[in-house]
Amino acid sequence: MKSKLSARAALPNFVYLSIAILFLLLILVACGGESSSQKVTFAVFGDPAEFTAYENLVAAFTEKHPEIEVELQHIPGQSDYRQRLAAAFSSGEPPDVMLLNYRRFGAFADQGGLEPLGAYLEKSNIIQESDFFAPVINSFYLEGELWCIPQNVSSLVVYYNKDLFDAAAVPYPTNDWTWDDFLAAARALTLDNDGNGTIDQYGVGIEPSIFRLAPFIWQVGGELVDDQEHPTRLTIDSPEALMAFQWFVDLQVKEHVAPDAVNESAEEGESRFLNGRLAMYFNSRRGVPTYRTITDFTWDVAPLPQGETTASILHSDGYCMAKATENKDAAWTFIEFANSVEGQTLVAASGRTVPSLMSVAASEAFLAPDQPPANSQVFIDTIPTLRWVPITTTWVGVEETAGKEVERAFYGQISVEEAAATAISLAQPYFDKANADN
Amino acid sequence: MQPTIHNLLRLPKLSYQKRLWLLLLPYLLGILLLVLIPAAISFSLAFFRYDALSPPVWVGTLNFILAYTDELFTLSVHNAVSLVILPVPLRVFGAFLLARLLLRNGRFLNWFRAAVYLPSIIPGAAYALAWLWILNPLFGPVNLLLKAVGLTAPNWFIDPLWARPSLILMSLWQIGEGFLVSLAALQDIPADLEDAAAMDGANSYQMLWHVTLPLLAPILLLLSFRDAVLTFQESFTSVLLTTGGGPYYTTYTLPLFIYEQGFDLLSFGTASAALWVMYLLTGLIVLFLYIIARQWQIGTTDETFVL
Repeated sequence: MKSKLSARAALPNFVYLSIAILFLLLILVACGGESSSQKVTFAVFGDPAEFTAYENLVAAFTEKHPEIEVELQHIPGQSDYRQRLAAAFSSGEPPDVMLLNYRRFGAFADQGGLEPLGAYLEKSNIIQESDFFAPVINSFYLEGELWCIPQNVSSLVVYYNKDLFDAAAVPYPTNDWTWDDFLAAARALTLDNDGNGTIDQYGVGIEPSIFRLAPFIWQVGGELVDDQEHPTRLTIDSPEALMAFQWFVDLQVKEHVAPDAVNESAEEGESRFLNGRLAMYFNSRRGVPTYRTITDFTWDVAPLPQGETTASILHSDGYCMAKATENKDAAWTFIEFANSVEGQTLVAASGRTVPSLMSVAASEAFLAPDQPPANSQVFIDTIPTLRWVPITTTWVGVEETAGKEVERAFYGQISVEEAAATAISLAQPYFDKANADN
Repeated sequence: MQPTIHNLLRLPKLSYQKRLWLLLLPYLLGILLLVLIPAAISFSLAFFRYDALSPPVWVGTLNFILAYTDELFTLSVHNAVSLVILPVPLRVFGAFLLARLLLRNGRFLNWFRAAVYLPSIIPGAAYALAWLWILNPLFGPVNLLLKAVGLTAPNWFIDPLWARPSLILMSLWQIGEGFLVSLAALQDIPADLEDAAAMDGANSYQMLWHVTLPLLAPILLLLSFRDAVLTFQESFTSVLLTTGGGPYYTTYTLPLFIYEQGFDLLSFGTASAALWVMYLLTGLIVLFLYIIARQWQIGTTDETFVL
């Protein structure tokens, strides 16, 4: 009983102290977070090797414009990135400038989250719309407005491990190789080295998604959607699309030249490529900064194998400005610098981008003859064959939903017919939503 | 008189009751600012179409209808509930058994107790990544061991049949809080009771079943409530990082649905509606447990039962 009494007597000091401290903290928190008017936050996604490129860009900008402070925010994965941005927008404090993929800016632009940049570009003395490759500028137009300034115009290409090709005595891919050439190489490069019945080296690594499948559908005359400008449904159930879909899926299901579900989850295709145990990996230019860290083997890039025609798919990210930005001029100054010849040259030198400015794309900074990939010209040559997914506000939802069906088909859990039908019906609400909004 | 801050500031002497309220104040403020106000906002958001970018538009109960008619929503509720029903009894009973086992003195007792508690202090993301490795179908230690002894090794997270058991298995090791509470409660049981039972010739199983367990029932019931709420709502990190809702929606749970509606599709209205359904379901689960407890007359006749 005595001890209880003394505990009671000892309480007040602690109580008052803790409450005092708490309120002090609350006040401190409330007062913090004020930013100076000349500060610009800039959010990017990407691997650590890519991030360095943006650090260099910001450093060069600060040197030129010491009055503007740029704070770089880095989020590794692209889908985490979008969710982080959604959270930032909903809290009312989005980054002032952000890098967004052309498939993903629509949702943010549509509802007034982004500042249209067409007027800024028109007034600029440094860059003009005609300096850019046409397809990539077009992909950032939505409802008649230009929303973001594209930094790059990448395409889907095949990264291949030259050492593995040499070891298996397979000729390197040519610029006009076909699906059959590709499959033959893939078969020859899929190996069970120690003869224990499990495959140690795969020929192909490709993400089973709508985005990776699309160029193959286009190559045989199929279409992703009924109307590129105003899509109302997926059309991957056409005979042409199904044929391409079947060929794509057969790489795993029938030919086993790509890792199955278990092997893919045990180690991702890209990691296998980096470790020299996968011969051909499909990716955009984005992979280059990371692949340049490879020291164990030499690698290069080849265009996509062609079907009846050539076609590849646009990968592009643009610099977008949040509408809520307090200092739009400072934000634009940064965007303008990043997409000037100087800024694009810096990022291109890291290997990260295929520059969207035609002059930089033709420069040594991009073609970099002394650094891999030797055949960077491939990216330039493919630009005329580039196509892109529809630009709508809900496209991400379509891709994610349909992607799950593509994945199931790729791992042999359902037929391509069933996958196409399910994907179409599950993706329909997203089309309806986008069309209802307009 | 001692020169304490209290004396220096000449603060008035408050009654015990008032001092308790003062002590509670920071937490009440926290609950108000971080729980009650957001909950109220999300409840009102449920009646709007809101994408976080443009002002909310009133849509009445449309969000609830949208959520209800969405196949994924129904599926996510089903998955979330099934991921609560099995692990909660296992976790609570497991914590209790371990506490009983590690109650008496023995060598390395403190080490064992620390070992049981340790997994609970690992941050959720690190814990999930560790399990991704542990249950890696080809390179993970579990499957290497299973294969070494000639058993078939399941593909765990990527097998539609095994994905849920994998998540349950993973959750069974983070039972530190339940373990500590059970341990403290067990230490409070007077030794006389067990001595008396031993005198009457009860074996250790009978002692556990007829003496210890009934005495601890109120505590275990409370732990189950807490665990059900926790498992239902906070399984999010582990699911997102290990399976991401897959393979093919088999572990797609309600928190994941809410997250995707909100931050993926910018439908914060539908997300809020689904969130409220989750609150209600949590309430129902607790009610269900309470009814079971009443049926068994656990705790209801005991003075120490607190709710």
